[in-house]
Amino acid sequence: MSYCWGFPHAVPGGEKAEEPVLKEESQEQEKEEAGGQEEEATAADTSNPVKIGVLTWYTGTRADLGTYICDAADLAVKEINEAGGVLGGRAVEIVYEDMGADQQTTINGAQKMVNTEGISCILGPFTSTFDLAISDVIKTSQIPTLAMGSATTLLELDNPYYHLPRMTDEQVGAMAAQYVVETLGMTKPAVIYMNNDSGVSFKDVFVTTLKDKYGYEPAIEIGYDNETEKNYAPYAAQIMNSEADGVVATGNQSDAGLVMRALYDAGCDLPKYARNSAYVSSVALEIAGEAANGWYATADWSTLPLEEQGKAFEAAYEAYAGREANLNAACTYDAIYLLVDAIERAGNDDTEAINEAMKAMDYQGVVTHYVADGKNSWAQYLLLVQTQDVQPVVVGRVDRVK
Amino acid sequence: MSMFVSLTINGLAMGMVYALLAMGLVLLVRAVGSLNFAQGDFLMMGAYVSFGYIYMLKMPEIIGVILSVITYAAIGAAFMVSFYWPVRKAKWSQAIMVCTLAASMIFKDAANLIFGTTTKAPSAIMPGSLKIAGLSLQYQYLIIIGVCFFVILGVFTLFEKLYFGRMMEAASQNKYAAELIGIPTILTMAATYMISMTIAGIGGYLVAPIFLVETTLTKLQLRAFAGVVVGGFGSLKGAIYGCILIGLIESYSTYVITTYKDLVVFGALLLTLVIRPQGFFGESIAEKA
Repeated sequence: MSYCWGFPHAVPGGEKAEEPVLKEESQEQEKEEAGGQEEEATAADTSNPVKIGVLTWYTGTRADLGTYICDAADLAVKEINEAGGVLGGRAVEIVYEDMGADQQTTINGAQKMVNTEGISCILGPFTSTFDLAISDVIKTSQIPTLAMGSATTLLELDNPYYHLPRMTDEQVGAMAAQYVVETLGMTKPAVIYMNNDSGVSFKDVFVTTLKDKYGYEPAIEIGYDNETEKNYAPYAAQIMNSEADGVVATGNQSDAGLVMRALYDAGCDLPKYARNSAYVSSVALEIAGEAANGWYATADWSTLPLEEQGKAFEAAYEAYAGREANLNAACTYDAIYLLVDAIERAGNDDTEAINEAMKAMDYQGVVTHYVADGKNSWAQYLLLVQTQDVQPVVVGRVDRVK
Repeated sequence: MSMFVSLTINGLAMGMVYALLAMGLVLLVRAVGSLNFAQGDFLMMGAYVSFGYIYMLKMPEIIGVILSVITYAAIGAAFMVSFYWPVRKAKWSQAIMVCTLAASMIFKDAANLIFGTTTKAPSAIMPGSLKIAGLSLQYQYLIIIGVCFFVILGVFTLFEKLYFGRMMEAASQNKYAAELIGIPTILTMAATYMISMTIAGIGGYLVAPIFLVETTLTKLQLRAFAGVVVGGFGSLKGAIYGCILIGLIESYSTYVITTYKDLVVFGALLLTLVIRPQGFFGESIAEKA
């Protein structure tokens, strides 16, 4: 654990300013609000900031998710700068670029980002296909980057500047097989997965682990195109007509809601498990309603976290952004702290030094514990969430399969 | 057996929604002689408009539906004035089609700007399922089949059986001759746009609980295009049969292949073009005057 350089990470907080406030006024207000608290941290020097690039969505169909990323990054930077900044008092500054709706816009954004003077490290896309699209740009620029996607292929890239904080689909696949067999008692699950890099790599590992480790086979495997498919009733009918004794699913937020709804309408009362946060996201729960009740999911994030750091972040985010945090917000918040931790340990904002510091990451965030071991992604555990009364309730945590 | 029935009901419902889109498409091709690439956007706008009335303005569903239908007709008329009328005499014959492409882009961005990019999830018109002998059929699909049946029947009767429909048909086939015998062609044209938007909008309202309210709804028009070609270009009856066939092929294909079911659907389209280019139920489209 390494939030030892003075950031109040364990107690996030701070209000989002409605309008710009003069620095002096702001500091006076904060002193008054502190009301005699011991030792006020000195605000960071903004004249020579350490620049962190963040690729987000300003436009396209994911523009709404982009606002979660921006709010979380702004909140983290606000806390860091109020606590004195990095490298002996330098302020952290975020430089945003748009990823738009497609790979080309993301590549353009990444190109612009790496050519912006002074960028020391980058928070990359949450979409694995976009991470793959900009890998060459990152590799050529030699700027250390957190790839926020979860596809296993990201680990297989020959790119020493890419680091994966989130658990890969392969790791989750092995973990999921262990959980559904040993805890939920499934022996012939139906597997429904989105047919993109992330979904297929999860499914492949899940099915392989199921066969090799336990000698079971899925009753049915259903892949779908998550970009075009909206009608899941035919798939639900097939699952109901198979010999499945449970359902294992992976998908994005909208299709997760629709899959849960379709299975519910088809009268499915089998145990149901989803491998990712999408199935307990607010979007999916709003779509599915009571159809979501009873589903288990291993998730990076839930709005009702178990641990104090998670609770503190959720409260701070809600106060700052005026809404509940989601996966993108929580992971972005952690990612900014991870990058700043690496910068601090590097001792300067040289990209090579930061990249080396990343390789020795050991950090307890609000989402999980991040440990770099040179070959895997960093996350050490995921939350186990069950939807109860259309609320995602954390019922435990599942450690990574060693 | 129960799966076959489930897939059939599902395919029939979706095929009938595609038919609503396809009928509007055929009517506009007859009226202006050009494909409308914003037909899917008509459906999308239908979903957004009804969502706006029922969920954002919190109107009772029946009031929201009535206001939605009125709004659909108004949008159809506005579409004609904005994207057809200014270019109706353009020397380049494809100008109208290009205008519809531009309209499609504008509608999607406008929807995102007005309603936001967050996916909206309206409830089913009638939640739950009908359960008979181990078979579970969602009421929503049954309602889609019922409503679409009456809308299709109404439009078909209007254009194929009633005098007003024949006036519209006459105006579309020979505008000059129609005006000579006193048919107000501008009104028949406006009526065609209004009907086309209204039936697509109703389709949007019906599928919104299944497909959610988002701009990707426009993609359904590709299946309507496929249905029109398979059925026979220019024929209302052909469009209806073709779309139902496409819906059934799409639904049954999930039994064999799920991920690449579009391959099956559009493979059927290509096969039709190769072995029977005029479509299976088609009549040749009347030449524009």
